Order: sequence, then structure tokens, then C-alpha cells
Amino acid sequence: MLENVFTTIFAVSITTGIVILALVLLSSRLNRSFAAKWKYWVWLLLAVRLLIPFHVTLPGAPVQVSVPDTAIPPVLSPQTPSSALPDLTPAASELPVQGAARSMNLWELFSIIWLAGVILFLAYQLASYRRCRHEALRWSRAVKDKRLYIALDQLCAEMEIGQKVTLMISQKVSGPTIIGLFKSYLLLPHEDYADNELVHILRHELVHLGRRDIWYKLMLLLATALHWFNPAVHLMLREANKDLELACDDETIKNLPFEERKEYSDTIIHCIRRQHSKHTALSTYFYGGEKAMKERFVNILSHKKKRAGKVAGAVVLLCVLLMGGMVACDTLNTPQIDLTDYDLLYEQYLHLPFWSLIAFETWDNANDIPPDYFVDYYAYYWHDNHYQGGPLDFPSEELESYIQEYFDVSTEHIRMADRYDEEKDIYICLGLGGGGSAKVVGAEQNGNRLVLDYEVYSPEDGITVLRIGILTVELSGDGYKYVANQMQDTEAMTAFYGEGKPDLNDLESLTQRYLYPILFSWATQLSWTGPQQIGVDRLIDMYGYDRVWNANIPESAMVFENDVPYYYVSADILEAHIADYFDVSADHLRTAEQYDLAKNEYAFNMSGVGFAYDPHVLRAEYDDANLLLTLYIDDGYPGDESKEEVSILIIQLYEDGSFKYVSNIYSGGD
Amino acid sequence: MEEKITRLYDSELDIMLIVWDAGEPISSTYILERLKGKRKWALATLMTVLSRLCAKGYLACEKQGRYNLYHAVLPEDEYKAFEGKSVLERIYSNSFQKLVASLYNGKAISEDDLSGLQAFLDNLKKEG
Repeated sequence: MLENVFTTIFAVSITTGIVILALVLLSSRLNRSFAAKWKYWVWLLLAVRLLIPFHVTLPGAPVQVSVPDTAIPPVLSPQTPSSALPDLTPAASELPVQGAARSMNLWELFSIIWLAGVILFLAYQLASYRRCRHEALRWSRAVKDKRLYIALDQLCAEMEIGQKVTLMISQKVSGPTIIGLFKSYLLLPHEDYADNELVHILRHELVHLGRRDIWYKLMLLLATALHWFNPAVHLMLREANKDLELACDDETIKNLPFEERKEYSDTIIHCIRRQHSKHTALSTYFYGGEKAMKERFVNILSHKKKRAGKVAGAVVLLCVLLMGGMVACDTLNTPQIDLTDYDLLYEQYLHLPFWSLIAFETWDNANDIPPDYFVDYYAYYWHDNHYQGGPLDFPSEELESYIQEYFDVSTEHIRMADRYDEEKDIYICLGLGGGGSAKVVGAEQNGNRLVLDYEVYSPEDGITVLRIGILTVELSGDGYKYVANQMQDTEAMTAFYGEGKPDLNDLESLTQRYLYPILFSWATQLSWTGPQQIGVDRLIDMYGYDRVWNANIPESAMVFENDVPYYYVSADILEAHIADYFDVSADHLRTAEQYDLAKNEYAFNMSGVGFAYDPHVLRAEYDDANLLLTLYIDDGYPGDESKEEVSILIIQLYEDGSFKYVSNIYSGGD
Repeated sequence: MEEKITRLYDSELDIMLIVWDAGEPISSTYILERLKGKRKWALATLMTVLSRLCAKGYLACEKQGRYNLYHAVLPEDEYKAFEGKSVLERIYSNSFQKLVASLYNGKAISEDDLSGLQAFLDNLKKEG
């Protein structure tokens, strides 16, 4: 927490420091007095900037100031999860973390020193101010000469000063001074002033009062306190105090003729001289006052030329804005991310959400994500990094704590997953697979928010964009969290998965999309008008399509019985797959031999998986009104090139792009 | 002043400042009048503090006709020297300047600087 504040302050300090130095250099080329009026406000702006511990990142800023962020461990070892190769060197990924721990301590130390400095600085300033204020007021007495009150009242009215101010005489001030943040006192060292002197003095002080310069000074002092370690900020404090006097002089003598401006200068000199004659012995003087004083006198007496001041001021202001815009600050508590390396961004942030289907949903609350996706998320992570064979069963706590590192999701929600086994308190992953590919195509960082634009490509050609998505990741010092995803289908998606008419001329697509899923059942070699007529065993064989499509079952997941490889699949998954294509009840399917009631699993014969024959759609008809698609199909036996229409398959399409098989007429051989 | 000087209370100092400034024996009504800008005391309160100052030997009271007139026994310079300027205060006053608005920073100009400044200013005027 403290480190974050400090690192931000540090970043703000560096960037603003550059602006300060540039401004000082730049304005030294201009006549000081020309710029003073404008710089007076610019310093305030910078002081406010220094006091706000946020840094704004300007996208595309030409100068990037970044402090190396050693404290962030890599969130995911950027190895290519070419899933087949298990990670054999898990130790390597731990090394950077140790280095991070060391550097974190250093920042911690710095931030403690910084905080101590701020407290000391403020305590010292506050103590000295309070003591001096108390002394000055203790030694004060009321004004004897009524003339002073009258002059003050007159000037207040004339200058439209709203604040109340108490006039006092105090030997403890070395010159006319305004003190007090809330209750203001105007302290004079004595009251023997000539009438014209008095007016000049009071007017000067009332300008200070009216502009609330003490608050101005307080802001600058606070900024200096927060940035005590930055010499540029101390320089700013000094410059600002000088500019404050010059700007105040300008206001005081505004519209006065030369004679009176001369008088004003004389008054200042006279006051100082008088002060000196009073107690020279005790006073100590600081170097540098004379030069500043000369600048003031030049400023006061050369008042006429100041019309050029507006131009100069505008130039200065413009330069400050330009500098501010050019210097953007990035990454201290937010990691610096290479926003151009899309491959790395994919590996780090999109790979797992994509394969686990989390990136296929639109959500801005992780509790809206289907819970089974989280199981897949972890399964893929595990598979990519630690897999060494064996079933993918995960202890619930291991999976949940990992998921909750990356998602704000409740344990209860994850446990609603079908694949959560309450009895054993484990998550069971039956197999991994999926189609298609995705790429990051755009990346943007706003503070600690990383927004990735990505595209999902067709599993068929790997080029056609089926979906576009926007994934939002929140980066923090020691990791990241997924906070939202938006998913949108493209027009190509609509064409690919339905909605609207199927393309009757694209026979290859029709074959892949509508014929392949049913092939494994050999049901195109039968005549039927409903799934009950097909035979349960054949329906269950349809699951093979899913297996081929997602062919990623490790051999270890198969069970060999008499050299026949079986894959045990939970009833829910298989039945759901069949129900995608047929209106058939689970009870009906469970009458199959392959169903094991005790385990609630199907023993799926993997030896049948593969294209033994290769039929094609020869032509197609579409009934627009009833959304019925009719496919004319050839026999498809290897070597048979006759292209004879032997099957007529009728399919019901639905608005959402899904479809179901309705009937088939087979006119081929036995 | 034979007795040892002790630090004056704020209220006592307020009265002493008026007595010192007057430079001649003054009446309690005069003091009350002069105090008005800083304190709004009843006469009774003032009389209490006055008698305490007399008891301490800092003030002396003389009867002149119907009035009691007060004058300082403790000289202003002597008391100032006593309270003096501690080293601390001298350091402090520099940072004090950071939070007040003055006509000039009295600490920033030395005697030498001042003559230089006067000459500089005179020159400027000629040109003007």
C-alpha cells in the first residue's frame, strides 16, 4: 500500500520535475517580470498536480518515463503451451519470484524513508510556523493611530476585499506581514508611516490577502513536503515565492503613473532601511536577497512595457502543456506490458480463457461464467504446465484457489460445475479439446486496465473471423484478474452456424456441417422417421464425432478390453451431445449395452472413431417456410465414385443456428 | 530591577507593551482604551493584572490626584533581551516566511545589499 503510494509519488515527482526544470530554463530566457503573472498560476497547477498521487498515462506519448518494475513476478511462464509437451522444468519459473522479493524490500525501505521525511518536514514547518505566529501575536498591540484604520477600511472597500483582517503592531515582524490561514492579521513593525507609504504598504498586503496567497503558499509547501527528496520541487518553491511577489507588485501598481511606482519602490527600500537601523546586531541575513530585490524594482518601474506579457505568458503556458503532454508516466505499480507483442499477450492472457470457453461468453461478473468453464481453465493450465500423464482430477481447494487468483468468483459458484464431485471433493476433467484458433489483434492499457481485442477464427480454414471479442484484464502489483469479456458473432459466424439460409451451393460446407455429426451412427444407411428407429447403440456412436472433432484424448485415458480401446464418458456429457442432434430422451439412451448404471457412464468404443466411409452431399433443397433442409447424399464407400443419390436426409434448422435430424430415406443396397 | 525577571504572561505583556510605548505615566483608562484593539477587558480584569504586575515589581503605581498613574519599572530593552531571540527562533523565522505574505523578506537583505539597492534604484529612476 505504502509502496504503491510512494512509487506513484515518485513517478509524479520525476515527470513534474522535468516540467519544472523546463519551465525554469525556458522562462529564464524571457524577462522574469513578463512571465511572473502567468507562472504564478502555472506553479499552482504544478503544485496541485504534485499533491495528487495518481498518474495519468497518455496513450502514444513520445516520452515514456518508466521505472523498472522488478517487483512483478511473471504471471505465467511464457512457454508455448503446445500441450503435448509437459513442462519438465517447473523450478525455472520460481527464480524470478525470488529476485522480486528482494527488490520489493528495497522499495519498501525507500517508501518508509520517504514517509518519515514527509512527517519530519511537515512537523518542522508546522512547529516553526506556529511558534513564530504565536510570538508575533504575543508581542502585538493594537494600533494607536486611528489614521491607519481609516486608510485600511478605505482600501478594503476600494479594492473590494471581502475577508476580514485585524491590524496590529508587532515588533516581531521584520516588515509588513499578513499571517493566518483562517483568521488574518496584518502586522506592521511600527506605525510611524507617512501617508503615501502607508497606502502602498497596505495595498500590497491587501493584494496578498485578496488573492489568498497564504493558501497558495500552503499548497506549495505541502507539495514540497510530499516531494522533499526532489530538488526540482524545492527550486519550484523558491521560484514560485519570487513570482508571487512580482505578481503581487504588478497588481499593486497596476495603472499607477511612474511617479507613484517610484514612490512604491522607495517605500520598500525605506521600510527595509528602518528595520535595519532598529536591530541590526541580532539579525542574520541570507544570501541572494539583493538580486531578487533588483528584479523587483525593475519589474515595478518598467511596468509600461508589460503588454507583451500576455504573449510571453501564453508561450510559457503552451510550453508547459506541451511538456506535460510529452511526458507520460507509465508503470510503477502497474506492470509495463509490451502492447505490440500480440503473440505474447495471447499466451499470457487469452490462451486459457479461449480454450476454456470463458472468452466465448459475454460477462462482466465472473459469477456469470458457466462454472464448468473454470474447471477447463484449470485443466488447461495444468495440462500446459504440469501434465505428466494420468487422469485430470483436481483437489477442489487447489483448483478453486487458482481460479480465484484470476477471477472474482465465489467458491459456491465454481462448485456448481457438473464436474465437481461432492463426495470426493474433487473436480474431474474428462478430457480436453476444442476447435478453432484465436489471436490478439489489438491491445490498450489504461492505467492498470489491459484491454485486449481478439478474433476467433473458423476451425475450418483458420482465417475466417467468426467472432470478435474484447477481454478486460485488471493488472495489479502481483498478478492480474479477468474482469470482463465481450463476445460478438461476425457475419461469417452467422453464415457458418446458421441463422438464415444455408448456402445450398457450398456442398462441402453442407457435408461438414450437417452430415459429419451423424456419420458415426451410420444412420444415413437406414430409413427412419425418428431416433427411436435408429437403434440406441448407433446413436451413442454419434458421440464419436465429438471425439474426432476434439481429438485430444490421451491414450492413458482409454481403457483396453480385449485390445478394444474404450473411453469412459459420463452419461451427462454423452447424452447432452446426442440431444444436440436428436429429440431423444436419456432414458431411451440408457437402454444401450454401453451404459453402465453403477458408474453412470458410457463405455464408448474408440475403435469406431474415424472416417471409415466418406459420403458427400450431392445436392440440397431448403424449405424456407418450415426451415427444413433436405440433403441428397451418395453412398460414400471407398472406391465408389458413382455419385449416386442413395440417401435423402431431412434436417430441421432452428433460428439459433442449431439443428436436429428428422428423418432419412435410404435407397441403397442392404 | 533587583529581582530576577520571569517570563510575562501574554496578558501581562499586552499591558507592558502599552506602557512601554506610551513612554510616560499613564492611567488605567488609557490602558483599557489602548487594549481595545486586542482584548476586550472589563476594568476589574485590568486592575487585577495591573496589581499583579506591580506586585512583581515590573510596574510602579503613583497616585496623582484622583488617578493612579502607572509607569514601567522593567525597561523594555532589558525584557526584550531576556526573552531574546533564541537560536531556535532565528532558524524558525526562515521557514515562517514560507507561510506569510510580507512586503519583503526582511531576512534576505543585508546592510551592504541595501546601499547597492538604493544606488540601483536611483539609477533606474534616472533612466525612467
